[in-house]
Amino acid sequence: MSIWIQILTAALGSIGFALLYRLRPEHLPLAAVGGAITWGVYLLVLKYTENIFAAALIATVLCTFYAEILSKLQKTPATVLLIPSVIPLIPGSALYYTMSSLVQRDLIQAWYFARLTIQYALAIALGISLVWTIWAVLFQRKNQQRDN
Amino acid sequence: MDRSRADAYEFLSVALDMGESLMVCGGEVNRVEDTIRRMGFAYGAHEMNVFVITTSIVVTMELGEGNSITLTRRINSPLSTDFRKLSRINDVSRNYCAGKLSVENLKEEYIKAIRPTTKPIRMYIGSALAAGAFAVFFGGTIFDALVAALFGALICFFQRELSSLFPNPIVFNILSSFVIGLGVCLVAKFIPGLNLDKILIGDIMLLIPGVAMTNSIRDILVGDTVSGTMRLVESVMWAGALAAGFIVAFWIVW
Repeated sequence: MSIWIQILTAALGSIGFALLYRLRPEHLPLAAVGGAITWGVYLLVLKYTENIFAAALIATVLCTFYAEILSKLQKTPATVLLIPSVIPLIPGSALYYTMSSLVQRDLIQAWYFARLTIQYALAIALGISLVWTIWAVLFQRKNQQRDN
Repeated sequence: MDRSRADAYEFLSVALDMGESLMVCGGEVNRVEDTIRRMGFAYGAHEMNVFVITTSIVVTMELGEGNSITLTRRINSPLSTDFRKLSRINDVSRNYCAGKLSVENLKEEYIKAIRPTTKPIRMYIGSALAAGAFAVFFGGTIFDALVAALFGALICFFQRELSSLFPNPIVFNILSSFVIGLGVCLVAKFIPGLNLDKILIGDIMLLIPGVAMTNSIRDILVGDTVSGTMRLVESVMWAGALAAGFIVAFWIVW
């Protein structure tokens, strides 16, 4: 049950950021689906691998493919759909607990949460770069023709 | 190429305006370089040398016969993500590259593209919705969500109306996280049953430079090392400022 609440609120959070970043109204449902997919995939991979980095990486890869494909169809820059969709993975809570552990002078716990924060950020960045590289190789010939 | 130098200068300054707007609206360094380069070739340049970092653009456009124009642009405006403007400007540059626009039309279309995009109320709703949703997402109750949403709208007000009054984002973040932290701590202290941590996490999602941090690491991985490092240092300092503001608020209330 709580899994569904998480996926639902992930989608709502993505809509919130989509509004904040001023997406076109017709793109709001796409951002919501993107957020839900990202968190759904993350939970699924986490269940089988129990590895946060792998789960965040695979979720980001799928989310980036989703954003790239839709943005080609919608003729809009890929970031527009990517950023709101990937928002649920942004480590807000890990960063908060790093901070609160520091306030309580619990350095061991603070280090644990700081590492967690870095893991998420790296996994997201790596996932996006990976898909972009694949995408660039796939569409390179077409782009070069357009240049010349 | 019989075009006059003045004409080329006019074109290149519009192209720089577009590049600057793309950057301020949340475009990637990659995209800005690519857009200016393509537009230059579409104009008829023999060679385009474009160098972009998050705070500056340098372009040299070679027009042949020893004729070249170099322009630089310092980008001072802080990042204010607006993806609707971003796609509009992107469309204008695409249309220009496809040969659908003259230089005069380009300028008109660009001015049309940067008109304000949405009503502020949507951004307030967005902030409240995001803060509330993430409070529940990280394990809070519906009451936590309501408080988080209220403070989320307040954060939006700070970011829209007050951030320009401060000399730099660091000072602004220390103060806004302090005010938000103080407010949430007080509310949680006097209303029993609220989860202070969940409310704050919901609101932190709006304040943390998570997207900037991710983008910066991505820039580094893609090869834009200078921009990436700049943004990374910036966002780490930003997160530190945030932490400092909250910590002081904690100390005062508890």
